[in-house]
Amino acid sequence: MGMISEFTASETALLGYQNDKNINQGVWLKRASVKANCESLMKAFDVRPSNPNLMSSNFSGGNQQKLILAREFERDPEVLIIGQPTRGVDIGAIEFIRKRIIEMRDAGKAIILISVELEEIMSLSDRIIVMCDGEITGTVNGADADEATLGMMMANALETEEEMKGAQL
Amino acid sequence: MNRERRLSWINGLLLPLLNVLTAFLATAVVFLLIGVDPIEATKILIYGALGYDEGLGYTLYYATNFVFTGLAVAVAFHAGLFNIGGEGQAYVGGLGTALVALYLNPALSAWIVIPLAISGGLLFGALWAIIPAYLQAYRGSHIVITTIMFNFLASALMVYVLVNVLREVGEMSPESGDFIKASWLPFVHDIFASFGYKIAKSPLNLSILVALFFSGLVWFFLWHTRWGFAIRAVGKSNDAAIYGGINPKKIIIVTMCISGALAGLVGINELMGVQHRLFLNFNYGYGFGGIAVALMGRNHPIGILIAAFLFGILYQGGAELDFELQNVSRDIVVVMQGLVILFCGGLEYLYRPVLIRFLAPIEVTE
Repeated sequence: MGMISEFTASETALLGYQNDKNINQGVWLKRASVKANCESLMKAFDVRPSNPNLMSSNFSGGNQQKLILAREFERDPEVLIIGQPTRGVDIGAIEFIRKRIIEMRDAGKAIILISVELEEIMSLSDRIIVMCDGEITGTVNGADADEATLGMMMANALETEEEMKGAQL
Repeated sequence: MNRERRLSWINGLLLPLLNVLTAFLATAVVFLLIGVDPIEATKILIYGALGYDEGLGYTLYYATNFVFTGLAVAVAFHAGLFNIGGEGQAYVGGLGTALVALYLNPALSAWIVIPLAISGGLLFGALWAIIPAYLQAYRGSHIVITTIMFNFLASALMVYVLVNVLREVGEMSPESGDFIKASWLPFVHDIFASFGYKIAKSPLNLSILVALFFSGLVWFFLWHTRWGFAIRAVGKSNDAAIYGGINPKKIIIVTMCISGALAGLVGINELMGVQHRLFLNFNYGYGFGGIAVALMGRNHPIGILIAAFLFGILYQGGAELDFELQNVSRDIVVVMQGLVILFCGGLEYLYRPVLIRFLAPIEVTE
């Protein structure tokens, strides 16, 4: 959704930031700056092939993902909401992306990570909030979390389990 | 040449060329069916449109109108909007031009009157498009339906205005009086004559330069401004545009205004350039023709210039056919236009799979 498949890579790298001062001169959108900007993003996140004129749809899913992440990460935002940042990305890139997320955390930025991969959430998050049916069903610290508890929270079954334990005692 | 480049050549040049060719072949079949020798007909058509200076003048004069309406359709298309209302927007735009050209002080210089009259056309064309745009953006009424209906509204409105308001006292025919002299755009043959070159009289006037200017402007606007970027983003993906902080509702309104304004320029050529008065149905067929031109020109200003020239040839050549051949009427142009729409619009990608297989097969890389 953060990408238009029929746009070139440099246009995808521009989406959301088309009003920036450094690429606009009066009414003129400077294509050369847009391209240069895309090239530097591609370099930073190792997007392959590093060709800003290539149609976005012609990149592999992982490289599309990296380009979009590069666009948002390189802006150095104060708050970042990311959903499934490593889906469809190859293993080397997964490590790279996770490292970048942690770096941003260390720099004091607020990050909300939404993912279906529990392992990813547990290894990256300081605090995990589980939601079920539009309600928060549990909050744990990342270090204390284990799959069983998270699973219970996801099914909104935590309290039921405690009740059952109480009944047994 | 890498695959990417080859693909863009196929999509940008080869495909439209083949489509047009197919449309012409189909026309040849139609000619055969009505008992006309297609080669003979082609000769008459080409000579009539390009063979002598008067014919060429007419061809370029028709082409000018198609450039305006073609650009109008193309701009809307880039925002994912199918503006069928070029016909009505051109008509009402002509009213805007006429009001300025009729009622401005005749003593004013042409340098003031002409830009004002052009602005009148732009403004009225945009105003006629803004209502369907609003209905599409905020009420979800489909732009195709509303713009078609607005063509009929425009037609009725113009009849009313011409019969009841602008018709001169004592005149029977529903047309306005003459425009003030300062609003007349000079004919190209007059300009040539003032430099000492003598060419045949034709309705070709300086509007053609206006058309070229606006083609360049549209190209710059769509691909080299942030607003053009926003328009194209909305056209390709509404959700992604919203993600990118673009308000699609606003884009719909703005784009339709630009589109309507461009269509409104038909009046510059027809009224300020040639007739120097407002009359019924001066826009006839150009709004719809613009759809074919935009489809054939693949919504790119350069493509539109080429397509508009081709349609100019068809219009002028078609008139010659009507004149020269007994069993051909001017309606053959409509048939050709229909076939061009069919093959360039409806069957746009007919040859694409074959072309890609032979000219740009998918490269297997390690």
